[in-house]
Amino acid sequence: MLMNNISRNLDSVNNTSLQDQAYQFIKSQILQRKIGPGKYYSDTDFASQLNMSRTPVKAALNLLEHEGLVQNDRRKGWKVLSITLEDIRQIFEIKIDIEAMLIKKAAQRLKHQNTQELLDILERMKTAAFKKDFSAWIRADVEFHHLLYTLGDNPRAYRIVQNLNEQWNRVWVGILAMEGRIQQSLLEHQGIAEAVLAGNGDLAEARIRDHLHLLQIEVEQVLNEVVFPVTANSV
Amino acid sequence: MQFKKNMTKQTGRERAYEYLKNAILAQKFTPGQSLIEDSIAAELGLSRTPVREALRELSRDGLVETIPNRGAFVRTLSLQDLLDIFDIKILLEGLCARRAAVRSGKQTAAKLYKAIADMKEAAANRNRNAYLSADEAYHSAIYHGANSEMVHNIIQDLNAQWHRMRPGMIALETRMQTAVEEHTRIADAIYQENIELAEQEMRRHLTNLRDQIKSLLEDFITPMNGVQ
Repeated sequence: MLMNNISRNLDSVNNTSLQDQAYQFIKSQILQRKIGPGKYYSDTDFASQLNMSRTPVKAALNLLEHEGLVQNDRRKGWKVLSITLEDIRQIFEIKIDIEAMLIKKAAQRLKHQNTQELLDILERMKTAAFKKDFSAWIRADVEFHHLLYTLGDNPRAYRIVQNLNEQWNRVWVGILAMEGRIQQSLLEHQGIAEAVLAGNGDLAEARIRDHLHLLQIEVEQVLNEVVFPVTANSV
Repeated sequence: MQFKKNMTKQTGRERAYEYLKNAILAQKFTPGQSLIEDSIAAELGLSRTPVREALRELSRDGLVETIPNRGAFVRTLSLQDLLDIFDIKILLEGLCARRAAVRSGKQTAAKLYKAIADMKEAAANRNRNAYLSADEAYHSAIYHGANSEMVHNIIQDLNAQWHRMRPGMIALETRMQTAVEEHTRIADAIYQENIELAEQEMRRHLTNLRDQIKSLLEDFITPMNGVQ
C-alpha cells in the first residue's frame, strides 16, 4: 500500500517533470524564434524531438494554449499565435487614452492606506528587476496597474484594458518586448508612482502616456526585427 | 466584454454568455428580472457550471447583478454606470473622429453630410425612428472611416448597454435640433482633415449628450438603482 502510494507519487512527479520539460522546451523554441507563426506543428513532432510520449507534450501544449502562445486546430495541429503591426497600433491607441484617464483619476483619489501598498509593490518590482526574475516582475506589474486602475474607479474601462492586454502581452512579441526593457520600465513605473503619490493627475497622465508609448515602440521593434524562417515559404 | 477575433470552437460558457447577453440587450430579459441557472441551463442543454461562469462574466460586464442567497438578476443601469460608459465613449469616439479625419476625411465627410440631411428632415418632421437611423448612419460612417475594428467593437458593446435605457432615447429625441448643429461641426472638422478639432467636437457632442441624460435621470426618475 505504502509502496504503491510512493510509486504513484513518483509517477506523477515524473509526468509533471516531463510535462514541465516539454513546456520549457516548446516555449523557448518560440521565444528564440526557432518555431513561429505560419506553420502547423504536431505533438508527435515535439514528442520525438524530446524523446518522450505524446501525453506530457499534449499537456504542455494545452498549458501554452491557455497562456495564449499557441492555438490548436483539431485537424491541422498546433500553431504559434502572433499579432500584426496594425493590431498593435489599434490596441495601444485605445490603451493609451483609457489608461491615461484611469491614472489621472487614481492620482486624485489616492487614499492614505493605498500609499504603503503602492510602495510595497514598487519594492517588489525593484527586486524582480534586480534579479531579472521575469515572472515576479510581471506579477508585480499586474498588481501595480490593478491597484491604480481600481482606484481609477471605472470598472468597465479597466476591463477593456485587461481585454486588450490579453491580446498582446502573452504572445511571444509581448513577452520579448517586456522582458527586454524591465530596467527602463522600472524607472517609468517609479515616475508614474511618484506623480500619483504627489496627487498630480496631469503629470501621472503624461507619464503613463510616455511609458505606454515607449512600450509600443519596443513591441513594434520586436515585431519588425523578426523574420521567421518558416514564414517565408509557408504563408 | 469579449471582442476576440478568432473564436474557433465555442465552449458551453461562451454559448451561455452570448445567449444571455443578446437576450438582455434585446430586452428579452428586462431589468430586475431574475435569471435562474437551472432553467437557463435546461434551455441551452448545458450543465449549471458554464451558465454560472457566464453569469459571473456578465456581472463583470455590468449587465447582471448577483445578490447573495437570492441569485442573479438583470441589472438596472445606475447613474454612475452611465457616467462610466460615457467617460469611455467620449475618449474612444474622439479617437474615431481623429482617425477618420486623418485617414479618409473627404470621403467620410460626404457620407456624414448625407446623414445630416436625413437628420434635419427627420427632426423637422419629429420623426424619431428616421432620426435615430440617420444618427446611426452618421456614427457608423465615422467608425468606418476610422477603420479600427477593435475600437468599433468596444463602442458597440458600450452602446448596447445604455441604449436599452429609456432616458437615453428620450435624451436623443429632445436634442434633435442641437445635435444637428453638433454633427455638422464634427463633419466640417473631418472634411477639413483637422484632427484636433474633429476630436474636440466629437468629445463636446458626447459630453452634451451625457449631461442631458444625466439631468433627465436626476430630474424625473427616482428609483434607478438596484433591483426592482
